[in-house]
Amino acid sequence: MKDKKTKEKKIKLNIIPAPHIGGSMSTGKMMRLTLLALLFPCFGAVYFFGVRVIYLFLCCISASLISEYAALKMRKAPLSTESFSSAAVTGVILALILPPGFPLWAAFIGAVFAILIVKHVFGGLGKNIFNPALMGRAFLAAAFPLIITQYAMTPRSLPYGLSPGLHSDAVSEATPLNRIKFEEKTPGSSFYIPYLLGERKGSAGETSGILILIGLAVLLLSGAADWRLPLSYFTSIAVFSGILWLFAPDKFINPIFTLLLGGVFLGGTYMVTDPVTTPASPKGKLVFGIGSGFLTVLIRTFSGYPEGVMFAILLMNAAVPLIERYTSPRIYGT
Amino acid sequence: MLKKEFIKGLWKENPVLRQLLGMCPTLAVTTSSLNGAAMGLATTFVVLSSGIVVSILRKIIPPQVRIPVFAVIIATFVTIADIVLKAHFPLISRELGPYVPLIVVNCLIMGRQEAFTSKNPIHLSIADTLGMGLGFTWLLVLLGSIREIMGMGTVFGMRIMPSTFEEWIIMVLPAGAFITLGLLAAFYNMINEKKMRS
Repeated sequence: MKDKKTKEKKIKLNIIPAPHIGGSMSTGKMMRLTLLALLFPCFGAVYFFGVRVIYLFLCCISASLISEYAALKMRKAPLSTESFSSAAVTGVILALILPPGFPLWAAFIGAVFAILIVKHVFGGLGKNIFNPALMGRAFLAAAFPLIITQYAMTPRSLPYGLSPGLHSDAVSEATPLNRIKFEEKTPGSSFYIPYLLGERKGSAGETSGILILIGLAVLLLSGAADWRLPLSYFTSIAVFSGILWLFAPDKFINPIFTLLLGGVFLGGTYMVTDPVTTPASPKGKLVFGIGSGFLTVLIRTFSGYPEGVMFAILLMNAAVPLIERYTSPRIYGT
Repeated sequence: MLKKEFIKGLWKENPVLRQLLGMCPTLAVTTSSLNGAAMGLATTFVVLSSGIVVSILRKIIPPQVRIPVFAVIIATFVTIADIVLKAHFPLISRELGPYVPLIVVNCLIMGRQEAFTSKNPIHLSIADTLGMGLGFTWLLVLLGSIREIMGMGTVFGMRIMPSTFEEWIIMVLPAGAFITLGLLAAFYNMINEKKMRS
C-alpha cells in the first residue's frame, strides 16, 4: 500500500532547457542539402576535367570516411550518420579545391589530415575551429608546394579514359590568376562569359561560376545557408577590388574578374557558409563576410600568393570567437 | 633515491612532454636530428653544470636575489657552451644560430635551479639535472628525427626513405614542429592514461 501512495505522488515534470521552439533544420538535413548543392560543381569538374576527377573525388571521400570512422572509434564516440555525412562533405569540398590532376596519394593525405587533425583533435563535428577541407588544402599547399601548382590543367586536356594516371598529353598551365600575378597579363573583356561558364584552368570545382551559383541558390532557398555570409563576402570583394581598380585601372584587375577568377565563388558558397566555423549571430556573419572579402583582395593584390580565398577564410575562422564576443546579442535580463 | 631523481626526468616528469618547459628551442631548432641532439646536449651541459654550482652555493645565496644569481651562473655556462660549439663545431653552431645564447632564458634550466638544486645536496642535484637534461635531449632527437624523415627523407643526414618518397616540406617549417609536438604530447598522455588505468 505504501508503495502505491508514493507512486501516485510523483508528478511527471520534464525539465527541458531553452530553446523551446525548434526549427525544422537538423544537422543531417543540412548535410544532405549541402551534398545536393555540391553536386553541381562536381558535374562541372567532371565535364571540364574528365573522368580522372572522379578518382579524385572517390579518393578524398573514402579517405575522409575512413579517418572519420577511425577517429570516432579512437575517441569512443557514437558512430552517427551526421558525423559521416559531414565527413563526406569535407571530402567532396577538398576534391573540389584541389587541382584536377592532383596525385591521389597526396589527396588521401590531405583528407586524412583534414578529418583527424583539423576536425577531431579539436573535438569532432561542430567543434572544429577551422574549415577542415580548406585546412587540408592549406596543409597540402605547405607540404607539397611544387605538386599543388603543377597540376592545374587546361579544361578538356585530360584524357576521358578510365585510367587514374595522367597521360603525357595532359596540359598543365598557369592559372589566369598566376598569369596576372607573375606575368602581368590581364585577360580582356571577351573572357567574361567563358570564365563564368568555367572555361579556364584552376582547381577541379572552382572554375564554373554558373554551376556554383546554382548550388548557392539551392543552399539559400532551402535554408541550409544564411544569405548574409555569401552576400557580404561577394560585396566586400567587389567593393575593395573596385576601390583599387578605380585608383589604378591599369595596375589592378577589375572587380568582375576578381569575382570570376580563382575560388571566390566556391569559397563564398561552401566555405564562408560553413555553420561550424563561422559566427552564429547575424551581425557577426556580416563582419565575417566583409573581413574575408577584404583579406582575399589584400592577399591577392599585395602578397606573394596569386590566390587569397583560402588564407582569408582560414584567418577569419581564427577570428570567429572574437567576432562572436563583440556581436552576440545581449541576453535578456542581463 | 639517486636513481629515482635521475629516472623521473626521462619519462614521468619529462621537461618537454610533462612540464612543457623550454618550448622555444624545442620548436625552433628541431628541423633535423643533429640539430636536436646538439641543442639537447648543450642544454644538458648547462643545466648540469649550473645545477652543481647552485647546489654548492645554495646556503650562501641570499633568497631575495636568488634569481639574478642563478641567471649569472647559467649565463656563464651558456657562454662556455657557445664558445666551445663555435670553436669545435662551427657548422652546428651556425645552424643553431641565436638559439645557443638563448639557452640562458630556457625556463627548464631556471626551473630546475628554483625547484630542485637550490634546496638539495649536490649528489641529488647532479642526478636530477642530468635526468632532466637527457629527458630534454631524447625528446629533441625524436622530434628532430621525425621532422627530418618526413621533411627531408633523411635521419642524421643519412637517406633512409626510398627515392620515390615525396618530402613533406611542411615538416621542416614551424607548422610541422607544432603539429608533431602536439601529437607526441597527445601520445604521451594516452600512454600514461593507459598505465594509470591498468
